[in-house]
Amino acid sequence: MRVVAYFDSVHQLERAGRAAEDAGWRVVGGCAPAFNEKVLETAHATESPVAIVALIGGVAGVLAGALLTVGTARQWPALIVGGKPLIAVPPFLVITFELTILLASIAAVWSFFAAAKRARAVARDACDESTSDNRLSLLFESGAARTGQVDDLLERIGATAWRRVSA
Amino acid sequence: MATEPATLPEKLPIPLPDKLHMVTVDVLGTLDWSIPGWLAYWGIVGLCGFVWSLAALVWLYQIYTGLHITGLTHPVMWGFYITAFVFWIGIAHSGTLISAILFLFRAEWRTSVARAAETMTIVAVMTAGIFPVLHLGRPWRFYWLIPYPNQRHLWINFSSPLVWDAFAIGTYFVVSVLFWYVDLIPDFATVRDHSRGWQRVVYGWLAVGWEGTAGEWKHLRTLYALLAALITALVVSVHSIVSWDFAVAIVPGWHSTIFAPYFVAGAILSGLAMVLTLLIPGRYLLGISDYVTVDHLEQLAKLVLTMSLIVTYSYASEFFFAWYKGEAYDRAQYLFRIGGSYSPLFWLTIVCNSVAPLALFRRSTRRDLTTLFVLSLAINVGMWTERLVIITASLAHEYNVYSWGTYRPTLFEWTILIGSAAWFLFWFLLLIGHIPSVPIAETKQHMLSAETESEA
Repeated sequence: MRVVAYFDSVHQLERAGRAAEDAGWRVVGGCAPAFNEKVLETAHATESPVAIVALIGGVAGVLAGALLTVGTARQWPALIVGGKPLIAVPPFLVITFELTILLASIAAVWSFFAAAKRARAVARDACDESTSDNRLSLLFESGAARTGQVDDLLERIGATAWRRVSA
Repeated sequence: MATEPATLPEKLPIPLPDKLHMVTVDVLGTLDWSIPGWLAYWGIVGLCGFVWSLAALVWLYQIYTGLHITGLTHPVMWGFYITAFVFWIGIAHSGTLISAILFLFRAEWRTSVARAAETMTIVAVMTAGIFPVLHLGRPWRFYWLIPYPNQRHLWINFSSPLVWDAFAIGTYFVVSVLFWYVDLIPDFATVRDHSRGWQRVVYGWLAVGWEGTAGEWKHLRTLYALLAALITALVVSVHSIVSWDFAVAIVPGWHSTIFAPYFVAGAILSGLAMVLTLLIPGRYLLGISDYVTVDHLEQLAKLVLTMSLIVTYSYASEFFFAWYKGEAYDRAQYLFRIGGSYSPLFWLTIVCNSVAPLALFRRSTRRDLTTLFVLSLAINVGMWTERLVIITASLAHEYNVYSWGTYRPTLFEWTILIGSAAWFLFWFLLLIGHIPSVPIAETKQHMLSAETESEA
């Protein structure tokens, strides 16, 4: 059985998460109107692939910058370079730097969209219009609890409201 | 008869859900057309649209007749258009810088001004991007400026700072738009969830399915911090590169190693001044004066003062090294700035950028919005004249006496310059009037954090 429980404060939500897990429930996810570390910890949302994908994008940017500048210069050696060496490292570094930032940023944003889509697929049930406004919620999964036991526990852990959702 | 002393009811603290809801209601109220001032809003947008349309007609006339209608002639071939390019790029820098650097330093007051500053950045880059094209004799071939290996055998000279410019400014525009947009996604979702009809559809599309799950917040936070770090490095690089457009040339007055930090500091000063110019009237126009308070504007004023002192130091350094290195042409250039035909503009620059901001040492000045507004306008003017003096005075007074000259802008250039300001204001108002002008999610984030800390 899956249950979405609503809370009025971060503190309540944090306590509720702990109590529910002590009672053998699993916290599947949560929703909040804003970023908060405690909510993320309670909902076990502590990992993100965005940084590593940005790093990969940055490395791709370095390679792209080097390939574009050195490759073009080697392809067209009659280029007028104003007395400078054909493959002039300092100006090429400028191009490489800009492409590194560009590709790292684009890769980071792309990975954010992909990761956010996955995160929604897991915990979408926990969210509704009230959680984008002023309420916090947690999505619990319980093995074989009876309805009465669930209500008792949710009341005890300080949920202001709750609803059942299909698994 | 003894009566019980009357006791005033204690002021009860507002519960957190109510505070969060108030933010939603207040900010969504700014998107509602029934807010007071919408007539003024559309009046200003319409006026700006009219003015830039006039400027566009002048540009069409310039394309038809050629660049000879401008004051550009030997030896000053860079005038108002390139000055405007540098000016608007400078304005663009501060917006993202305020947002990104202050985010990295965890300055919470940035929340109130970040959205306006980031929006200003994007519109300023859009405005700046027009000017290299305006400066072309054959603007329909503008794509020849884009540096890519091509079949026309116009291979790129990667050693040219003008090519670095194209890479730097293109990257800056893309990353600034991404930085601005990803922060807006949760706010668009809030608007979607609390609106109906076409607004729900449009903002739903812009929110790209955002629900506000903990996982989404984690990814967004990681992304935003990364972009803030990347864009901070980018900002410094972009205006350094713009300065190298000049510094790598052997023109007296341009060929200086201090140009990169000097331009970056100047860009931040002009951008901060422009944020004040936009926010002081804008907070009334958009109904966000409860969120953009005098305290926030005072913080901006302190930054303006700091940057003004750094820019003044740069001016002094320029003159010191022109004297100290003992090169006659450099000395002649700086003496020309002080006492030559451009001296009124030079002294106006000093008054606006170095002398007038000293008034901000007084707290009462920093908190007097009328004075702050006038000062911000003065700095905008000063930063414009600074760039004009750097560009035109240097070209007008190079090595050979027989090639000295003076640049006088024509009415056409003035019209296009005023038109660019109208274009900037037009798009800024259109954007800021149709997005949450104060970050909803970030404001709520501070409330959640404050609650967490108070209970800890």
